[in-house]
Amino acid sequence: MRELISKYIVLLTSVLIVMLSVLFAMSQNRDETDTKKDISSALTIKTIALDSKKIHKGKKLFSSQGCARCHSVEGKGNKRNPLDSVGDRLNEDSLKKWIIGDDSLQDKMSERAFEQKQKYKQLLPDELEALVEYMRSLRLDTNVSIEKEDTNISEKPKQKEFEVGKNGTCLECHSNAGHMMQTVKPKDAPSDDGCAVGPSRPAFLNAFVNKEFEHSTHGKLGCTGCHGGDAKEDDQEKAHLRMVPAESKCVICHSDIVTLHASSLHSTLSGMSHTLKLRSGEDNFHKLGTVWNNDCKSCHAGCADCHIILPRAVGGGLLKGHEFLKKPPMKETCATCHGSRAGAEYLGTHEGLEPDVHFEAGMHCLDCHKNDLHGDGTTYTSRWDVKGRPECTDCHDALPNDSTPHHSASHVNVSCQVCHSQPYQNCFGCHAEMKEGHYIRKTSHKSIDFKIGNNTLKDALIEYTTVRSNPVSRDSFEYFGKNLLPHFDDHPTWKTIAPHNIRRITPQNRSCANCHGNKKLFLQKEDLDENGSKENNAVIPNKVP
Amino acid sequence: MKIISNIQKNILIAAVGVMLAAGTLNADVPTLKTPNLNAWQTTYDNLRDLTPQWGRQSIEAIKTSLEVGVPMVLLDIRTPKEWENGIIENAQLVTLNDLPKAENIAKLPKDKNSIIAIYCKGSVRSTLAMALLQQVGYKNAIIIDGGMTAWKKAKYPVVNKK
Repeated sequence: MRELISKYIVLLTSVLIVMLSVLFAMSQNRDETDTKKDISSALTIKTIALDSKKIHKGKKLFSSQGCARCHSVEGKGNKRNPLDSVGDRLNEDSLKKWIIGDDSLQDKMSERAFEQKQKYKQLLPDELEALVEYMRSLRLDTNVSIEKEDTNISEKPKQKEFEVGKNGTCLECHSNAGHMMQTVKPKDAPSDDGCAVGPSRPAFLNAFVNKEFEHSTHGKLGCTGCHGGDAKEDDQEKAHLRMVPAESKCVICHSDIVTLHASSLHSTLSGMSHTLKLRSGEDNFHKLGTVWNNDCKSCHAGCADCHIILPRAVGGGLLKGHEFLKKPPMKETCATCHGSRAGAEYLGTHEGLEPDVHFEAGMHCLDCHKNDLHGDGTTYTSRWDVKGRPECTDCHDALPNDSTPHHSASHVNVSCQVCHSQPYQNCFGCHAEMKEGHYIRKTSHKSIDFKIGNNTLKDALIEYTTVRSNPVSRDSFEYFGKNLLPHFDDHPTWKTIAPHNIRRITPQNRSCANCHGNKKLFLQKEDLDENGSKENNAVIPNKVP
Repeated sequence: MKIISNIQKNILIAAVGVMLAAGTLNADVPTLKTPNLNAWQTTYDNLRDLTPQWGRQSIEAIKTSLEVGVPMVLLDIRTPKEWENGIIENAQLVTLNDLPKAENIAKLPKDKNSIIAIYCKGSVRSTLAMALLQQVGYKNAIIIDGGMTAWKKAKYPVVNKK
């Protein structure tokens, strides 16, 4: 009896196994045609009628309005925000809201995106409709078929399109220097915080367009081609209605470099946000929105900030009668945002200090910073990580070398700047607050020092570097809330830097004793703020060598 | 003493020029309507006060504008003796005394919208010249504030008179 039962069990188990495997095999090897049949029987394919004229117009608007700066379609444009399946996800109404950055969506997107989208509120109703129609046509879901209405428009081969605009009445005013001089009022300059330093120049130059510009490559695109507005209108106010940010048009012809630049530190300022987040933590970072927008983000540099206008961080304004400058003039562009530190060091504008030897030799910032300014597609979190950032050894022999006895193996753990840079500016205790609706930031004090400390970068070779005080303090953002920087003690505020005021002979390298054993040159406990970051102690060298 | 009398002479000449010009050309210059001629003669302060802010441009503004390529005529209205110590490049040379003469006015650009940047040693004579040019119809006659003294002090380039 027992034998019989066990035989049954064996039989049943084997049958079960066979059946299960058959089922499994069936499910795995289903024919594709079967699947489609199954689904079509289960679901009905949705058909949507779209107007292909509108889609075509929407597509054109997508490129002319600069949408590709942040979004991509079929892999073209900024791939961080693909729109390939947006038609599946959003309905007509919400598409409209997303395009114009409707107030109800403010919490759902980054502040920058929201701000950028505000300008699309100016779109005409039919333009918006066309864009929505185009977005609706972007679908990956195969259960939806699109029925395009018949039109005569044949799809043009994909190519860069630029709608050439008109100069019209624009230049009648903008090239009339006398008129500009009389009518352009000086703008309220950003409050002078001694950080970014703009040159003083007459306000009318900010909007003066040189007559010769008309004949340049960009001039031939016509004012309205980039700026929008109405070139037929005589009235100033009406002519300027519906202008678009011209910078959004750069991508049409210069898509490669503009797309790359979107990842650069100049564009993302990810170095700043990264370090701020390290100190604040992800949660508090959102509470620092005002700081981020008014302070860090005000330094964002787009195409125009270097090539056409003075950086907007110092108020903007046309650099040279709207001329497109392939090589930005360094004093008016680079050295304004990087004004109080690198710029002043390099140009030698700090009192009692000499300019950088490279400046005296006639070198421009870009002569060294060749490959690290436009981004390479990677969003770095620190400028020290950027591939292609310049190093002294790009031109000079690395240590040890025979050029002088001091370039011996005993100095390989010392950065070049320790011996070859002059004192540089240190800023302390920057505080931010709102005053009468304006964002104000001010350091508690500044001083010109030279301090050697432990290298704060992960660089095995270099032990001693020049270190600079970053002006953040524990209570920098107290105005905006309590304890917004809970991780303040985890990160030093004295950090490795490379001062830009190199000289061959410096006070510290004149003799061995000038540096060795000279406590003043090395970061000491006395130099640190009592309430500063505890991690600063790690920057103090163990002993003065 | 000689300088003072020179200035007085200049003011008088300019005032006469202004009168003549205003009478004959009937230019529409709302900023300079002042029926009381005594006001012209007392001091140049009245003129200065009537000058709109944009009418006085700093030497930095002029230099930057020239670099940017803003089309403007530089007008040096000092005396031949002063010209010998250097002038700004491409400046037209006409003394203030000669400026009201028709043949000298004719040497200026025909377009009355052109910017004419006038300079002297400081800015007293320029103020008078500006008033004159405005009456003749130049809407954008301006003064280089501080004149040649400021220009040289800032170590901006000067050239020798040809």
